[in-house]
Amino acid sequence: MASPAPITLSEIIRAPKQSVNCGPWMEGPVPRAQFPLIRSKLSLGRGWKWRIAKFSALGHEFFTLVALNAEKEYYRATLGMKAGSTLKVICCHELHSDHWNWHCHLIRGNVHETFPGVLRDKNSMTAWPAFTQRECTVPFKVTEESALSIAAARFRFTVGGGFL
Amino acid sequence: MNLQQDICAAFCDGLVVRQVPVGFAISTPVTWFSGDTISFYARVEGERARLEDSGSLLFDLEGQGVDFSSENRREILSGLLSDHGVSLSEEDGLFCTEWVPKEKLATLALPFLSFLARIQDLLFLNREIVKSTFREDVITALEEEFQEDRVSFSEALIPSLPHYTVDIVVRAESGKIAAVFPATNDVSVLRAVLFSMEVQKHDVANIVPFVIYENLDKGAITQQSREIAFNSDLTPAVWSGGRDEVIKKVSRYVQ
Repeated sequence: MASPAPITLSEIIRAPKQSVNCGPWMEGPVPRAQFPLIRSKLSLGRGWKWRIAKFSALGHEFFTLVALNAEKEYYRATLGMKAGSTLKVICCHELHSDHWNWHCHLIRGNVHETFPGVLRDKNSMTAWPAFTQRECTVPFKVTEESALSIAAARFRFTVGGGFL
Repeated sequence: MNLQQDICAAFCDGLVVRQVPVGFAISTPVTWFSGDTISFYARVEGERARLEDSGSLLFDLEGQGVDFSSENRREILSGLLSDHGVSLSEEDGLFCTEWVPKEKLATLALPFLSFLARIQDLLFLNREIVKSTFREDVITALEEEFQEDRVSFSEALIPSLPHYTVDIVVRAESGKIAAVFPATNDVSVLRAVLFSMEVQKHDVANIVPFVIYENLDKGAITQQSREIAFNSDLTPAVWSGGRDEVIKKVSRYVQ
């Protein structure tokens, strides 16, 4: 079988999105049916809330896991591309008060080469941008109301023609 | 040169403490596998406090494929927890220390940091990370075919033999039980063989032991182990030969 045409993360972000669908806020473990990595569930502990946004682009299906822990000031939006029965995680967009400012852990180059089924392909995922100081200097203002919009703006998906 | 001062500076310059709603976020100079620094939190409630992870540590480890249902990893985790005075709060889904008076909290910091640094070792024990996809796929397919609550893991099916645990147990409506061993390495195949011998020896009628190979390529399983398994009473199946056929076979044998 021929290899799929190479795609980069920036091409996915810039591409028009279709079939955008957002689930409600949930608490507790993230079941495999919602965000299919290799384990049957992913445990998110006390204080975390999460929701899933799905969309299609460039002939592929994408899952975004938006997770927020307000009491610990920790936000992450994890973008995965459907690959068979699992996902290839290609970007984590994060802000957490313990260190750094807004940053991404992302796959550079062809996302098809990402190791499937895991949160971070340790060989291909790198942090961006680089920071000269480790301390987080950005006030943490992410709320349940804004969390999805932040992910939508980062990965450029909208519902009903407008931002969420 | 004052080495003690230099080392002290190396530690402390990388330490950042910031106030957050739950108490404090503490960032350390030690690096997590992802390249992020290892951080933890102080939860402060009145005059007492404890240290805990972000609540996403289990998520991150499971997300890297760490299988906490594996007996081996549960034992390692249990050892790490007791070595460092840390517990896994099932209710809260996070790793935490005991509650102590606020002024004593700092004494828990080094053991807790050491725990967080060492728990990453579980990632490097993930020799079967690719194999575990296969095991997980088998579990998913069995849960789809049978009801999810009919599928359980790491269970000793013969009461007099508590050490003979079965990887995946499927309890069919008929009352028959499929004892499924995904062949991820030689040990799993030989455990399946031993189990099937015990089933025969104890004349257990309602248990059908299976060994399921991912494929028949030479790889993780030696030819010798395969031959022993084929000549035993185990029912073999090969995943690469067709997932649906394998699941139907299990289904037929426990009807």
